[in-house]
Amino acid sequence: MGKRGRVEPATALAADQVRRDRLMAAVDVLTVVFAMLLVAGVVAVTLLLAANGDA
Amino acid sequence: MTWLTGDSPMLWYINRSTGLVLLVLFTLVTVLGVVGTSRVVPSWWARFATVDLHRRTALMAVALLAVHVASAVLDGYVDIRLLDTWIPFQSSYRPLWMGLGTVALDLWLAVVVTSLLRRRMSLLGWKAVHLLAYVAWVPAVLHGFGTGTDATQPVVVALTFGCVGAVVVAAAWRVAVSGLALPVRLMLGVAVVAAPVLVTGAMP
Repeated sequence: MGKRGRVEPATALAADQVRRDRLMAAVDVLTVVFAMLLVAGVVAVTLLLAANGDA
Repeated sequence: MTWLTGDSPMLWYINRSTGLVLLVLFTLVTVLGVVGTSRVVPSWWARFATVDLHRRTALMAVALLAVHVASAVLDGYVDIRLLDTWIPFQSSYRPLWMGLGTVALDLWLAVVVTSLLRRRMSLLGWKAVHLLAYVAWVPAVLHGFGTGTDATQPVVVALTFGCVGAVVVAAAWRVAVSGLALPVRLMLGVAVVAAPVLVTGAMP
């Protein structure tokens, strides 16, 4: 912060970068969660169909 | 690896399970695509994150689509040739419903290829092709509903209607926040809600 409530451009840029990094980390986590759900979904449904022997 | 041969029903099970998961995944990709084009974003989120998530889930969907197609071709339970997965309405197995899946596959391929070549294309040309992804979602859902061996199972019916509902809500929201003139928004809103009702009503 510079004079009284004024945000320095460099500080604002750094804060924006931190926010972007956090959001990208959230996107990474969501991607892993989706990928795990995808694999789990395919495996679970395949096993369910195989267990029922329903061709 | 005997379970991967055409004689084993495992490939048929994999084909059906990937089909069901693809329905959910492509719905997620479509919803993220619709939502990602809006400038209305909560303060704790950012549009670029939605767009990035849309790209990543689309990539996963394409990989799973390859497994879905490969398992259909390699499986010996039904006679689906590789050519049937590229040229619509050629298959001897449920030609109409298989053909709709092929149409969706071809449209998505066009979207994937143009997305990879995006830097070499005009933005307008890329956008025009990319809109086909939304169009492709419709024959894909119909393909699952018509071809799907499990389509009449209550869980699968609920899943299909849930996916259709998710896309309708996303599209209706997108129209509502579009900033277009009110009569245009109303017209588009009615079309968004009426289209799936009409398509569902026309289903055999």
